Amino acid sequence: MNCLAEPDITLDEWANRMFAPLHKARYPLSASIELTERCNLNCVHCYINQPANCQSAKAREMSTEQVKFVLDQMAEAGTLFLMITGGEVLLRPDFKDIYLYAKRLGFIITVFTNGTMVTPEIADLFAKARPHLIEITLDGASAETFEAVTQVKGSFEQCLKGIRLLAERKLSLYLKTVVLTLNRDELLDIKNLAESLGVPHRYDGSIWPRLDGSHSPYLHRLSAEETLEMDLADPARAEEWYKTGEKFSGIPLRRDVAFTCGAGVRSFHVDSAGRLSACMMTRRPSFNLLEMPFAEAWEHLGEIRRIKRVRSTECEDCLANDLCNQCPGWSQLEYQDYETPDAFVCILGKHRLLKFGRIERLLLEGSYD
Amino acid sequence: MAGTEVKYARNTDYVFRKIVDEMILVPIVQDTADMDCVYALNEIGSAVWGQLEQPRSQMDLKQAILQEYDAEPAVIELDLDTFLQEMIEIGAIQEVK
Repeated sequence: MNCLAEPDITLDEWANRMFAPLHKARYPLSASIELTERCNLNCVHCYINQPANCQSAKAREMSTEQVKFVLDQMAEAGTLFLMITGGEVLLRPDFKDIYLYAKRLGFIITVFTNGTMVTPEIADLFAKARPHLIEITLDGASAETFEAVTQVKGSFEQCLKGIRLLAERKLSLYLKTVVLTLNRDELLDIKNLAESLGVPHRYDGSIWPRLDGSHSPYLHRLSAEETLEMDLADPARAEEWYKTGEKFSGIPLRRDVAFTCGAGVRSFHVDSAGRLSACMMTRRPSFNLLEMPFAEAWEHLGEIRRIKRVRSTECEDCLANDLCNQCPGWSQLEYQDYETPDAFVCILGKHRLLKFGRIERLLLEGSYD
Repeated sequence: MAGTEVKYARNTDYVFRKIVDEMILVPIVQDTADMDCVYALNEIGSAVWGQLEQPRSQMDLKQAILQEYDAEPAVIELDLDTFLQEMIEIGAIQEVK
């Protein structure tokens, strides 16, 4: 997306210019809002999905008017980029109403959907009031594999039908694959399928534990070695990792605060009950926007940015830096603190350090002076 | 001629947003603009957009802006003319009778 008023700059450049006067001050520019935890699919890797007819999850969801109330507050606070996610957002019968309301507030919207509930009417809605982007998960290139992941018969054809309805309308789409033991052998076919549909595609092997604490998604996770093989099998992907490794000169960059990402600085998450938190993974602390003005909730959220590290962990002198995906949200899900490193993430980070870290690579090659 | 003067009005399919210190127009529907764009407004553009809460003629707009800004009338007139042309081109502002 570019800014036509100044056609030579990209949206990123424009955003950088926009934030220059703020220096490091917090500003709630980007948000994700979860309309429901429920989903018509039952993907084995999902961190959140509840059954489509789950009454307790439904009871927690904001009403239409409550969602609009929260969106009003976010727009008033200056949020520009809005990701609408679930669960499956199209399970909500009021999706069209909510979506158009958000458009009228002037958000730049990305919609996450599994694609299986996209009807001609929904595709027409998006064609008329276009989102910036629609992202759809495509976890197989065959019904057998796709449905081994979603655990719902017929979902593959439904998903393809949905993608085609959107692609025919020339909407901006992105397909994404969570690479699992169930579908890794089909990754090339999935890439080819995406290409045949004319839709860009990306993939990743990151799997979180479920928000309810279950580790069931890990049953289908690639090992750290397999994940590294996947990184190396794709030259463009490997190149990105090498570039990341080149940035460091063997100095541990860990800071004394727990949160060093953008969560709670430029971005935040709102769950289906209206609770504001730092991101989709870091769900605590949270502040209910139905009970507290946005400005107050945002102010409270800022307190997590000042949380100092207090524990001694092996991250202290680790050189993996950005080659490692360790984050406080992951620690919170696994260990209920902001610091304890997740063992799998740690092993994978070390594998990547040895492979992509500049000094480590030279040492292994025997050419480091 | 009185009564036939062209007035300008906002297209309600554009939303004005102030994000940090930037003023932008975000299009809502497909047939008004390239949906992959947002449109940054300068200070005068933002002031004109503000004035268009009700349809206004170019003369009305010029006078309102001159009251607000200490600038040469010719400069304001040129800026206003350019802004209106650009906004009409993208469909953000429409001519009304």
